[in-house]
Amino acid sequence: MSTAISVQGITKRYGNFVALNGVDLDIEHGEFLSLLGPSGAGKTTILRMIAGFDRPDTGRISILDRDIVNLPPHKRPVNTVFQNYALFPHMSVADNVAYGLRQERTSADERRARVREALDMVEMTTMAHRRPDALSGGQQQRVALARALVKRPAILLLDEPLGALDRRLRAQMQIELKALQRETGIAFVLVTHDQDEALALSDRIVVMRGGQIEQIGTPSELYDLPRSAFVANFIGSQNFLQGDFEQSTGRFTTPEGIVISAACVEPGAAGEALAAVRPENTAITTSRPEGVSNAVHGRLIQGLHMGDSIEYVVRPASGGALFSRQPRKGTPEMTIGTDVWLSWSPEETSIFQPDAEIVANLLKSTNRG
Amino acid sequence: MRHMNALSRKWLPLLPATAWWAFFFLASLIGIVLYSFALKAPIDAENPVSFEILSLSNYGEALSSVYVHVFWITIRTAGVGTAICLLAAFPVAYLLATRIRPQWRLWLLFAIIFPYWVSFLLRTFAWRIILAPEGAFSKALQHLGILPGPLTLLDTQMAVQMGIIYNYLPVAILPIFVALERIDPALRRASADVGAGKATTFLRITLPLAMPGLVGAGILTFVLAAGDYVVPAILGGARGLMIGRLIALQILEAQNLPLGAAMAVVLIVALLAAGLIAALLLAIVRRVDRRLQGASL
Repeated sequence: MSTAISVQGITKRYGNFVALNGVDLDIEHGEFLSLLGPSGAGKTTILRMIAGFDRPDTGRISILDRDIVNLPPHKRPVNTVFQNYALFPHMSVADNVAYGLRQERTSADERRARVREALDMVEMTTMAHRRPDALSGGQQQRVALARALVKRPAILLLDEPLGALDRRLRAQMQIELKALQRETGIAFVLVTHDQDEALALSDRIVVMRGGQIEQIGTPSELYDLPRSAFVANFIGSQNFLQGDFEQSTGRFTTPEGIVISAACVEPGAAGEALAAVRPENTAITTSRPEGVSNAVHGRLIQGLHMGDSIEYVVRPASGGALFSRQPRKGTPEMTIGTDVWLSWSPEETSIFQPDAEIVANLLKSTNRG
Repeated sequence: MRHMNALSRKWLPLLPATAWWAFFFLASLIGIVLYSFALKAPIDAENPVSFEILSLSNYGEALSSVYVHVFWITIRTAGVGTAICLLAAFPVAYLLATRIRPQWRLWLLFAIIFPYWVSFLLRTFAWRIILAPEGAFSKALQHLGILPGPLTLLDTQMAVQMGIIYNYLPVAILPIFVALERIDPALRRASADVGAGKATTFLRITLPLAMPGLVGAGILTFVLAAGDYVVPAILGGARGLMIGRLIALQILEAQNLPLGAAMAVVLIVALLAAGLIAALLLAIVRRVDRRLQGASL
């Protein structure tokens, strides 16, 4: 695959707030890329810069090696699906879609053919003469997609496009988005703070935090091999244990003296550290399991039904809460209030450098317990 | 209240305003129309208006060539005033709605409205000082070599025109500002995003969406300006005339209520006709534009 748009060393400040701090990113032709992160991470700022609504303080944005930083939005070969769709309220659905083509020197016949094609693609042909305010949220979403895709952009930018839809509709639109992206072969860049959405749709995910890229990878890479505690915590759920990591021996010890072995260690982790394991990778038993190196003893305080699984909440003697997710079928019922062992293998364990936010949350839950 | 049905509960809040409007506006309008068919009573009569003979003679007089000329001047002055007010108001309203931070907007709106705190009469009189041939403004212009002799604007139709524009500019700014402020800024971005330049975005997105505000501002300015009799009375002198002043003269000084009433009715009809023509022109422009644009599908 070749690079569609290359973002190099982008920095942006708003007053004292650093929105982007040295971001490098290559977007490949035909890929589905998600920018994922909490609000204020800089996802939308990147999108606005690629679209041309905002100028970086430093850095380059190039298409085919041509810097487009000085190009106004209407001259860039990228199109956007806006957060609240931003459909033109005084135009019909067809006029909304045709609007962008009228700005090109396309013949009337070609314009009509392309509008029809775009509306067919999002199954909105029957609504072509309606005004946007007579459409549901999902339908407006489709018109916004058609209005952008009819321009055949090199890249389609999507700014939290599914945020305003209810759960069921969102799931349906996710499937349609993915199908549209495959069908058109256009690179989609999706801004979202919803990790499930990013995992479900993306070829690659860019995890952002505080104006910087934390990690770029496929959904599996991010899920299985998070490079930092932040990524580990942001994608999927995670149990964290605070402790001390001795680099030379590879031993992680909690203040209570529990020793944890890990197969995966973040480079640079030493001294104060976090050990992490995902709830679905743990086992829960009433007696200490034989031959498993990582085990924590505690009291079972809750069992939460998650539909196909049960999430058990275990409170260790040290306080706080650890989670263990078990499939509902084939797991013996556990009695709330009994003493249990939570155990997992070193292969499922990672050691990370401490993350201020996660440590603060851990302390909070420990004090509550 | 419990026994009231849903319908009356829904309409009840409208009652005070409707009653007020019906009594003071509709009733007086009907009165004017009735008076316009009556005749001026003899000096010694108890009532200044005689309904004994109803005729169209007042209309005959109101439509005589002298008055028709003044009607024309009135419509022209109000029309030109409205056009200039809208043209001047739009950029102000646009900057206010899109470029000024919300926390400053209120203060600037306040500044625009501020002159209205001073009496209409006083503000208009102030223009006599500004426009006076021997005034400071006139002298400054002569001093700078812009004018060869004293300023000769005062007591002309041009002075009336200027006074009208000055007085009704804020009335034009407010509705346009409200309309522009309600346009989602993302729409302008979306327009640029799909390839439209600044001029196209303005013509195709901002202007059509601001139309209700522009029409509102236009009607308000036009109607108020056409009915104005203070500005021509103060700034027009003998040469600057508008029909409002003649109506006032007939009613207040000549004691000829029926003729004044007929002139008022003619003014209303003339305003409606002007409005209709403007609406028609607008519709034609839209129709032609649609034709030129061609169908989208």
